[in-house]
Parts: sequence; structure tokens; C-alpha cells
Amino acid sequence: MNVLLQANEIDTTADPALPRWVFLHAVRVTVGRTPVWVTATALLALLALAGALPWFTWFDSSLAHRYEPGALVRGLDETFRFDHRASRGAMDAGASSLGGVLALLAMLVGAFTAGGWLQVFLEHTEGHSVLRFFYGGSRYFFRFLRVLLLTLLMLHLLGWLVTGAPWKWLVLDNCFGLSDGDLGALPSELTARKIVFLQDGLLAFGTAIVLAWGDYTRTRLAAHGTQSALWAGLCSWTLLFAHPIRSLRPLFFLWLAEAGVLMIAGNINGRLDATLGPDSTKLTVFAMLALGLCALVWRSITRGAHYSVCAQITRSLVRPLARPDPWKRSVGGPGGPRYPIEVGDGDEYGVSL
Amino acid sequence: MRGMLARPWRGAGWLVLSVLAGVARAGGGPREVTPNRVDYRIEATVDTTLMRLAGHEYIRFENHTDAPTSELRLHLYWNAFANNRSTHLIGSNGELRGVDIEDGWGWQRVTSLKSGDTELASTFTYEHPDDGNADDRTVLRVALPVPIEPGATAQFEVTWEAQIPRCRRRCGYQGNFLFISQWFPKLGVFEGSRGWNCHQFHSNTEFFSDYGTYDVSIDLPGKYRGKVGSSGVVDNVEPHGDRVITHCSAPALDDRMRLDASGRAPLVHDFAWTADPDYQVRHFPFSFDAWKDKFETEITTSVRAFGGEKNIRLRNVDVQLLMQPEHADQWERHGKAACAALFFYGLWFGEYPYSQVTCVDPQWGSAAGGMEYPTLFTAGTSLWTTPEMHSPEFVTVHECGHQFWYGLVGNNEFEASWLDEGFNSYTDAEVMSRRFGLRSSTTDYSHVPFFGVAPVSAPGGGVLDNFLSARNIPLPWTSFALTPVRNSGFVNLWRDQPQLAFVEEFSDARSQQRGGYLGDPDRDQIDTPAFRYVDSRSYGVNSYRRTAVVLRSLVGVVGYEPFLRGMRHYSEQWRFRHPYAQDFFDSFCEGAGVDVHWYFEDLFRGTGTVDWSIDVQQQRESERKGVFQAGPADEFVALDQKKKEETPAKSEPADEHAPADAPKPSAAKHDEDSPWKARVLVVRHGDLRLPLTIELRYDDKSTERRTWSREDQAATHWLSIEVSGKKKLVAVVIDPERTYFIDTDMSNNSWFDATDRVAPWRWTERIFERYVHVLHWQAGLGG
Repeated sequence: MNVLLQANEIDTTADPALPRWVFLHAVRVTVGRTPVWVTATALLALLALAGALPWFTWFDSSLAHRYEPGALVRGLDETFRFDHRASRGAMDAGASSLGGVLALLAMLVGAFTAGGWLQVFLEHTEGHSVLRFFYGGSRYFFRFLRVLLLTLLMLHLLGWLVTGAPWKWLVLDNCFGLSDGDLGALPSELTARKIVFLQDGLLAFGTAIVLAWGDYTRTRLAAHGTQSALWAGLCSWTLLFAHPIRSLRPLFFLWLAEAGVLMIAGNINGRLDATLGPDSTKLTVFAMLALGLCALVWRSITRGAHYSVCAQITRSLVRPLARPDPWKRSVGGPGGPRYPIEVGDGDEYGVSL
Repeated sequence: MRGMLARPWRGAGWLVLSVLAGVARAGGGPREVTPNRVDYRIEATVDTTLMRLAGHEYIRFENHTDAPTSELRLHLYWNAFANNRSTHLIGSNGELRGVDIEDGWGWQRVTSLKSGDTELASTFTYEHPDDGNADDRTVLRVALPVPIEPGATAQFEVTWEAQIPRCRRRCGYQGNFLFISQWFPKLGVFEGSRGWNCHQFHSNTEFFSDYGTYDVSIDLPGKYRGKVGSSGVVDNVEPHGDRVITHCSAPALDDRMRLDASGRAPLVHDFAWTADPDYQVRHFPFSFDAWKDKFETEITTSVRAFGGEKNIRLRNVDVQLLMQPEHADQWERHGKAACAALFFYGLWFGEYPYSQVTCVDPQWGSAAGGMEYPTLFTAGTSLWTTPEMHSPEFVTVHECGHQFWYGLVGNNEFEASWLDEGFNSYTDAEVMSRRFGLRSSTTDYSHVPFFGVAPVSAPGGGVLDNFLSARNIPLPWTSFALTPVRNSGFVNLWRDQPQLAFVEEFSDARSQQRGGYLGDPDRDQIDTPAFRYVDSRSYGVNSYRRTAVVLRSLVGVVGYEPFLRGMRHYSEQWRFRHPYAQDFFDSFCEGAGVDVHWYFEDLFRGTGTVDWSIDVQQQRESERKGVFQAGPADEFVALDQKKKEETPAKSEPADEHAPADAPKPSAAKHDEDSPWKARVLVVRHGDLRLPLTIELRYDDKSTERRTWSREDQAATHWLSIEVSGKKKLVAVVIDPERTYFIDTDMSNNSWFDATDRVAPWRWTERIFERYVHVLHWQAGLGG
């Protein structure tokens, strides 16, 4: 049978027994799916490469024979930046446009990889992980596209609440007397900065919650095999409000783990960068590239681990859907083989009357 | 009239001194102009409830011109903030510092002006000499009953009232914070046969007035006690009831008696003051001895430049700092920056002759920062800055530097703003690069600076990009758009991962000025009245950056030490006077000992630009091929045959160990011995012609310099240099000392035989990292 096309049983049974450290278990499970996170990493890396490659040609042609070798390895001086402002600006504008396309593709890739991860985790795939990954990605793609649209709507709503009229009325006007929203009228810069901190902090927190909601919604859709993103989304909000700690804590720890590793990688990156100079070779550059790829790998793993966490939490907190008994309507005599009558997806054993 | 009775003899003494000094400098120098002198005694009372100011002043005017005047013209600057029909607000489109003005208006009204016992209020008219705007009330004309003859002195008594504006353009109030400048009816400058120089207050212009002394008493609520700063010094504080009167004098009384190094008694041409109950007052001393040991090279260069005859020692100065509480920890940084300006500007242009300079850290949101007044200036800083960011260092150096260009050399800021702004811009960049080095660029996340910048922009910016990246999704058939992805400090920080994806970027103040100039290099000439530039951008470019770049390039023409001599000579000659462009040109040439009027004509009174480029073709001399003739009567023979005839056969001894089919050693080794042949083509694009140095560097580490003169550049737009020999050219560089900052494109000023193999990889890797993290974040939206 074609493994890719096989609709294996998704494990929807409730599993109340969670490991003590859900997020660690999720990371372990995800790390074990090496081909999957390699694939997920490669997809993103290819997109990034598409954006970066044109710049190699640009730098090669801009520097050729015009600058002393090594002079611009450490930094691009003001004179270079200015003299090349026109072509660099054109490149940047083009990169920005290309970046828009890449950003859209990235969101679609994100939806795809989410489906892939969920297929792998919910199915408890053994072997053929990559094929099941691609199967899941394509299977759930359009459902997760609807979730993406809902995510964008919710982010817009969040942004409006925190930066739009409600904020201006409730916080700026009522709390600080700034009817025109002019922070310059405040008595001190520190007060103004605190307000901005609060606003940005709320936006960041809200964004994190919305993205977590998105993860649970996708997990519910995959786990229950349902189609309605809206209904799954409402149920996910219910889950988050009903069990905020249990649902969000593992995701928070995952975020901490991701941020921690990125900070360490950033520190190493800074040290490597500081060694660059006129006599540097490509070795340092490739070392930085390798470091960056390792950081991306870690981020792919933690992204996958998000779905492992969501799958575990969903199984433990959410009752499986009651599914109709495919054998309820069937033909066949007692004691003998029985055949269902075209229920469910209609498997090859269905009998048409 | 406190102090006034004793003053006439001081004034006369100053007059005698200035006349004698003028005679001493006579003989082929610039036009001899003894400026007028105007002394003020002002008493003001401020009602901080209504934000009203009631003022009374005595003006003593000495006419040192050769013409009489039958009128006075006074500036009433605050009337620019009375309504949106003033010339100032029309020029700024009704906005001040980006804020559409709806309230907080200000005005000034002279209620009485007497000459002796004669009331002159009935002769008041508003004048509009620049644009004929009848709604503009910033120039008041008063007809005099009796003309003021040349050499005569007249005194006037003025009473006025004013509404203090909300501080949006350098002056006004913001809460309890008061910054009061251009606040009293101020005489314009009478220029004799040229008449009164008293322009309207435009959005692009600053100020111009005569030198003199100021004695000011300010009556404020008691909460301002000890928290007043002013031009000059605060002499004493006199409480009365729940109020306090602060007495100030500018220059300080002691300074008026102390002749400066050039033999003149110090004067000032304006008076500003500030008050804030929250000020933290600190003092930071400037001592020449503490600085000279740190910069011995500068001292040596200056002594050499000025012939060892100039007294370069500078007086000690007290830097008074008025800091906002939340910036109090930055007071030392402000102090050090001010001292840097006092040291370098004083070393190069002559000492700062006053005992004190006051640096003000203005209230948040007041828009009073970054402005200069005699012996007082406002800086401006923010929380969480570091010295590498050059904030507040840069603005402090710049504004303190204005004490020299504008404060001591009092150019007409309406008609020749570049004489102070451009000169100051040149000098502050020199100070910054010597004292503070390169500036490190930062990226702000929720106003918290992170070192480094993104190598490329994040997706978005255009309509399509914004749509695709979910930054702005217009909804069809509506004017509504979704904005799911917004700029927000912490979200952007997570998206960007600056510690992994950003690059360090450094800026040099001098190169930044070049960039600023080249942003708009040729729409206006530098020597243009400030209100006549095509727009505010042209004003900014030409008054500030282009002048600085042109001065810096002048160093490349005349040499650094002659340049210093020229500038010093000009600054000393025109101290406490009002120079114009030609005065500077003449004085500089005289001091530098070189005639560069052509440079000034081309660069200050023209809009020409120049770009020199270089191209090199180099190869080994090709192998000789063809038939050659030894002499006219000889036959042409092929080269091989000719060589056989001329050269006994030379053969390598047979290698008896070499295999039979091994390739024979080449008989022609001349390729590796052939001389190198190179053609260096230097091309001049543009109208300007400056003497150009071209440096050729060879693989044996030797160098050779050639010069392309102005005269040769007039003949052709290109220069071809042919070199041949055993040495290989490894680099050719135009203007190796990098002094010609006016070159519009320096990227074509060099040629190198080798190419950089690492840099393209390095920068592509950075851009790859940038995309990786941005796209990873974006992918997270989808799943």
C-alpha cells in the first residue's frame, strides 16, 4: 500500500497520564524525528536562501577591484554605504518585495509543516516519517489555511485594542489625561517609556496567546478530523480559559528553552563576528553560517515540540469526539463476516445496497 | 537704573578700544566695520498661572555707522506663534516639530516705547520686508522724532506684555518648565547706508542682533528659587514674599572688565533664560591644563600652524549643568562634551572669553533642545543612551560650539546662516572624531537601544509587500484595512533576533556630512539667505552639511596648517562683529597666505559638483610576434629566425633521468619576464576642478604620486597615465588622504588588482541569517 496515501488511524484516545515535564518530553520526541525537523528546517532555509543569493552577486560586483581586500569584511563604512545607496536601495526595495512573497510562502510553509508535525505525532508514526509528514501537511493544509485567516483576524483585533481607539480612550485619555494621545505632554520621559512598554508588552503577550491558540486549534482539527476552523477555534479558547496553566505552561517553557539557546548562540555569534577583520578567511564566515543553521534547527525542533505538547495536552484534557459506529449499519449473518454499509469515508469493505 | 550710570565710561572705553583695534588692523584688510552696540536692562515678571509675562526694558543704542536713522525696527519673535497666518507657521505648514498647532499660542505686544518723555506708540507699524505678509507681526517699526546721528547714542524705555507660548519651537513653557528666549522686543541691526537689517521670523531662519550687555531681573514664583539659568551668570537671588527675583548679567560683571586674548572686552548679542523647579544643578570645570596633556599632538600642530606666536592657552571655564532628574546620571557626559568643545574650538579659533557656560537639559516633550544662545545652550538626551551612541555628546559639542560660530563671530543668521551652522558643523565633526571616535548605530525596540542594524529591511514597505506579508490587507469595497502584523517593540525583537542576525554599523561624523550634502547637492548655492532656499531641506543641506564638506575639502586644497591659520585669522578678526560671506573669503585668504577666491566662488557661489573616477587596464607586455627589420636596409625576418641568428642555441642539459615522453622544458621563459604595462585612466565628471593627487602602488611596496592640476583639468576631462616596467601595479588611489569629501562618488576612486573573496560571503551570510529568522517568525503565523 502507498504509505503516502494511507489514511492511518489518528490516535484520539484520551490519555490522562501526562509526563511530569511535558515540554521536555515533547522536545525529546521531536528530536527523535530527525528526518522531519531536517525537512522543516530545509524548507525555511531554502526560502531564506532565495532572498539572500541575489545579494552575493551584488556584493561581488560592487566590491570587485574597487576596495582593498579585507577592508569591508568587518563593517561597511559610511562612505561605501552612501556611494552605493542607489543600487543598494534598489536591491533593498526588490528584497522587500521579494520578502513579501517569501513571507507569504513562509506562512504557507508554516501551515504545511504544522500539518506534517501533527500527522507524525498523532499517528505515532513508526518509519516513513518524512512521507507521513508530507501526507499530513497536504491533508490538513486548507483547514490550517482557514486557521491562518482567523489568526490574522485576531491579531488585527488585538492590535486595534492595544494601539487603537480603546487604548487611546482608556489608557491615554482616562489614566493620563492625554486627550490627543501626545506622549510629549507627559511630565517625564520615563513615564512615556513605561506607557510604551506596557503597550508593547500587552501586544507581545497577546500575540503569544493568539499563536498558542492557533497551535491548539490546529491540533484539535487534526486530532478530531473535523473541518470547521471556527468551531475548533472557539473550543480552543474554551480550553485555554478553562485550563490556562496546564495548556500554556509547557508552551511557555518551550519558549524559554528556545530563547535561552538563541541567546547563547547569539553570544557565540557576537564573539565570532568580533574576530572578523582584514585578514579573515571564509572559515569564520562559514562557522557563523553553521551556527545560524544550528539555531534554525533548534527553532524548528521547538516549533515541532509545540505540536507534541498540544497533542499531549489535547489528549489529556479534551474528550475524544463521539464517532458514529461504522458497524452499526451492516449486513452479514450472525457469527459470520459483517460488512458496513457505506459509512464514514467509505473504505474498500463498504457494501452498497 | 542699576549699573547703568557706571556704564557709559565702560561703553566709551570699549568704543575707544574698538576704534584703536580697527586702526591697528587697517591697511588692506577687510571692510572696516565697527558694529553698533546695544545694551539692555530688563525687568520681567512672570505669572505662571496664566503664563503671562510683563516686561520693562531700557535700551541704549550706539550708532557706530556712517548714516543716521529716523526709525527703529524691533523683533517681536513670539508673534510668530500667535496664529497660523504668521510667516513662520505658513512656512512650516501650521506645524511645529511635527505637531499641528491647535492651542498654546503666544504673542508679544509693545504697549509703550518712549524716547525720553516722548511716547512713540502712535508711530508703531508692522513691517513685512521679506514676503509682504500683512498678518505677520514679527517686525515692529517705530518712527523717531529726532534721527540718531552717526556716532550718537540714544536711549529708549519699552513696556510690553506677552503670552508665553507652549514650548514647541525652542521657547515657551511645558508644565513648570520655562525656556524663555527671543522674549523681549529686540532691536534689529542698523547697517548704516544699508538701512535696518530686521527680517521677519521665518520657519527656517534664526536670529541677528547687535553686541552689548544685558542686565536682567526676573520675578518668578518662589518654587523657582535657585533653579534659574541664564545667559551670562546669575548674580544674586532676592526672595520677596512667595516669589523670588533673580538678577542676571551677561556678560558677567567680572568678564566685562577682562579683555580677552585678542584685546577686546567680551560682549553678547542675546539673552535667554530658563527655569524649572526640578532642575538638578551641577558644575563641571574646564581646565586647559587637564586637556592639553591628553591631546599633545593637537597642541603641537596648533603651535606650528600659528607660528608659535599665538597664545594658545585658554582660560578656565565653569560649565554649569541644569539637568532633568531622570537624566541626572548623564551630567558628567554633558560636562565632558562641553569641555571638548571649549578645548578644541578654543585651540583652533581663539579662547572662549566668558567665565561660565550653561548647558540645559530641557524638559521631555518641550522641543527646546538643540539650540544655542550666548553662553547658554540646550542639549537634549534620552534614557538608556551610551557614549558609543554619541548622544548627548554630539548635540552638546555642536551647541557649545555655537558659542564660537554665532556667539563670538556674530554672522547674520538670516542672510548667511551657513557662516555659523556650516562652520560649526565642520568643527563639531572634527571634535567628535578626535575625542569620541566612531558612532555605533543602534536599533530601537520600545525605545531601548540595541547595538547593530539589520542588513536588509524586513518584508513590507510597498503596497504589495504589505499585503503579502500581512502587514496591511485592504478589504475590498471598503476603506478599511486589516493590520495583523504591526511594528511593536517586543514582537519585532523576537522577530529580528538581533543578537544572531544583525551587524554592527559605525558612522563617522565627517562622512555623514558628506552623505547629507550629496542628498541634495545642486539645487541651491551655499551663499543664499536662509529664507530664500528652495525649501527647508535645501536650507539644511546647504547651511549645515554642504558648508562643512566644502570646508573639509578646502583642507585638501591648501593644506591643514594654512587652513587653520585662515580660520583662526577670520575668527579673531571678526570677533564681536558681523561678517558676511566676502568678509570670510578675504579674511581666510589673508590668514592662510594663499589666494583661493576661485575655490570660494566655485563652491560657495555655485552649484557645481565633481566626481573623479579611475580605471586601470594592466597586462604583461605581449610576446613579440610578426616579422621585424633590424634597419631600414635590412630584410624583414620572422622573430624565430631572427632569434636563432642573434642568440646561440641554448639548450637545457638533457635530464637523463626524465622519461622519454616527458614534456620538454619550455624554451620561451620571456612571458614571466615580460614587463608589465598599465594604463591608468582618470576621468573628471562635473564642473569643479581641484588639484588632484593620484597615488600608484606597486608590488614591491613602492609608491609614486602624480598630480593632475586645475589647469590641466581645464584642458581635458581625462588624464591617461601609462606605466610599464618590471613592477606590477597593485593599487591606484585618487586623493589618498581622503580630503575631497565633495567627490560625489568615492566608490570609483580606487582600483586594486586583487579582489575581496571573503566580504561577499560574509555579507550574504548575514542577510541569509536575517531572512531565516524573519521567515521563521512569519511561518509561525501559519503554523
